[in-house]
Amino acid sequence: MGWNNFGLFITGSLISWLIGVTMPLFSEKLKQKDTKIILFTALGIIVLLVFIIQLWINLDRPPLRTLGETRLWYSFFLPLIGLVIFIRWRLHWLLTYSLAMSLLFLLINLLKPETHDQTLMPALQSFWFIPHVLVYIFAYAILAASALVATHSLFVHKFQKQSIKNLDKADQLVYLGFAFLSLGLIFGALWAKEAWGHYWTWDPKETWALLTWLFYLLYIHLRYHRPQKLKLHSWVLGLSFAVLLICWFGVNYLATGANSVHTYGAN
Amino acid sequence: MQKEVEVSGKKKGKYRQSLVVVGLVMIAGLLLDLIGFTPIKMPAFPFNLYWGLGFINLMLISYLAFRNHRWLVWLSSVPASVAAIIFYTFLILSMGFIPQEGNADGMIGAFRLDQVISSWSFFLLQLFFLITLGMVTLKRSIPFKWKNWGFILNHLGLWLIIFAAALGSGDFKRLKMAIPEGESENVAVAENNQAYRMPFSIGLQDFMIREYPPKLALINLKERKIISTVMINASNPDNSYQLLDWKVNITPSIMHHTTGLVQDTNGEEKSKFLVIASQNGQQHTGNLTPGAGAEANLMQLSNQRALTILPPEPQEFISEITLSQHELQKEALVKVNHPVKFAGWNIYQFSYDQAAGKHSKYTVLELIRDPWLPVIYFALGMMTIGAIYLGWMANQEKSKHHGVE
Repeated sequence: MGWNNFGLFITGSLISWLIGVTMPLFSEKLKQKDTKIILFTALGIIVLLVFIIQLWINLDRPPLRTLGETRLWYSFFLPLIGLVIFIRWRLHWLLTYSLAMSLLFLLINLLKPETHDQTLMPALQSFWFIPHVLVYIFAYAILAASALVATHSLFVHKFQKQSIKNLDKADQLVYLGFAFLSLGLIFGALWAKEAWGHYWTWDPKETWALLTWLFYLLYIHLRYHRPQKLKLHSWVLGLSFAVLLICWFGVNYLATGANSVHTYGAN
Repeated sequence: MQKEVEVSGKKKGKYRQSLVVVGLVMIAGLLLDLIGFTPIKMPAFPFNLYWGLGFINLMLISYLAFRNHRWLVWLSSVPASVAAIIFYTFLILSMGFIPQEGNADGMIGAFRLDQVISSWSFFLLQLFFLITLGMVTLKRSIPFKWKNWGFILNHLGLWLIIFAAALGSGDFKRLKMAIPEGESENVAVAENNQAYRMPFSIGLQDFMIREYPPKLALINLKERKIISTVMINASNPDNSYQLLDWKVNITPSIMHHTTGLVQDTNGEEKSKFLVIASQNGQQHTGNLTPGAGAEANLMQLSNQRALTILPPEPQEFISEITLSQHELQKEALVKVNHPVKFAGWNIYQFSYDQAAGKHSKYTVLELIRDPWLPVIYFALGMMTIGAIYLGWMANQEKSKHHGVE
């Protein structure tokens, strides 16, 4: 069967996820509602798993060789991790985000079948490729949400002249995002050892990833020690996200970024 | 209320004090570089191990003997940690902006901010970081309480990584070895051109580049852009492909049925494809050759569209080698992302004769030795569990004993 009935499987996942995320609109009791969200999300994930297993059998090799196949794994793991976080923290928006991202990857595969042929350069053909990218997708999304909380606090403080009440929500997100950020650095180090011979070479992208990590580390320690300095901490949190953005988009434009090994496809 | 202000004021004072002390550490480092003190270099085994054991002993003894002394109380306090993070971050920020090539003029060069890793300020700040991180870890570990396990994994893990990476840099070796096909080599060269005789030799049977099958591409002539591609698939039954609204049928001279590569009767993997392209009943016929320059190898379909075959992209760089040490012999394939371990060394595919491409007659391997790696992996394992703990607990624990420090 291979990729032949891909559309059918996507539709299956899409329907169960739609039922899942719109559940809050129909169900009254909170507890029951969450259980249903979890069940329907899981169902959609199982549909994808069945597709991957049959593809694996059909290709007679792990489907890990092309860009399209890589995306398929993102689509599978995104909702899975989103679901685990949902079960723990009940972050509805994050579950919806992970389902939407998953569907986006699935749709690209469906609408652009030629990407199934798009080859991976040797440096990217590694066990670590998918976990490394996945944890960063979560880290960046969660930390972006924490930056929104900080910006909102500062906005309210500045224009509505209200004092910032607390940063508990931001703290929770930073701890969670920081965990993913740490995993990203660790997986990156393990991959670098396999690909470039050393777990840490101060490549510009590595340097900026470490800087991002250090800024959030600073935030966590500041919060721990003097939780009442809400305004200062909101600024630190906003600044941390700016560093994250430099790491994500900006490195290639810096003087130091010219010889980064992370600059793929430049020639 | 009065009390709260007092506490807050005290904490503020502690921050100021910490920033001043750690700032002085950094200034001391910058001055040492300015004067031109030789940068410190980690000695090799066993001296790095002695240094490390001495350092751990000193930390343990000072902690156990003077844990209530105000200096040690300060060293294991949050303000000291925050100050250490701030100045360490500051130094790494300079690495983020200044290219680390060691050739900057003026103040940047004088303070060695163009080679931070070998500067005194980096050394001293890293040392301070290790001391305060170590003291914090000791404070939470002695006496041991189970509720601190996540904290200890994260802090001890990070401490161990910095510690082992610093000591390990004294033993880390990165050498290059070029081997011609059919020959054997046992000398490798370091970055400073120093040659090393290896305890084993490596023979190269063959260097290969496995390629993906070539791709058929539809080109927009006006914008000179590829607008659609499809991989030529040896197992495609009717040799027919769809590129946007063009239906393309290509017949190779001889298609290698397992690799999908195209070969002509000489075995040369550059053969002509007979191409028939059609759109709305209009038909074009021509020839295309994979791998040739795109300019010379276009089949024009209309004013704006043309077909070409893109040069195949590399899938794998492979060195087929034999490793021998005394009687011991081992055959192995070295590929990018798949190093081979032998006699305490990791062997990586590094380079080849790029002008000759897949016909390269030699390979360049990278030989790396890092005996401290198991410690690093152990510490990374600790931090992995620590990170999962952090994500699972988030700020729950903090809100429980809020402000206790």
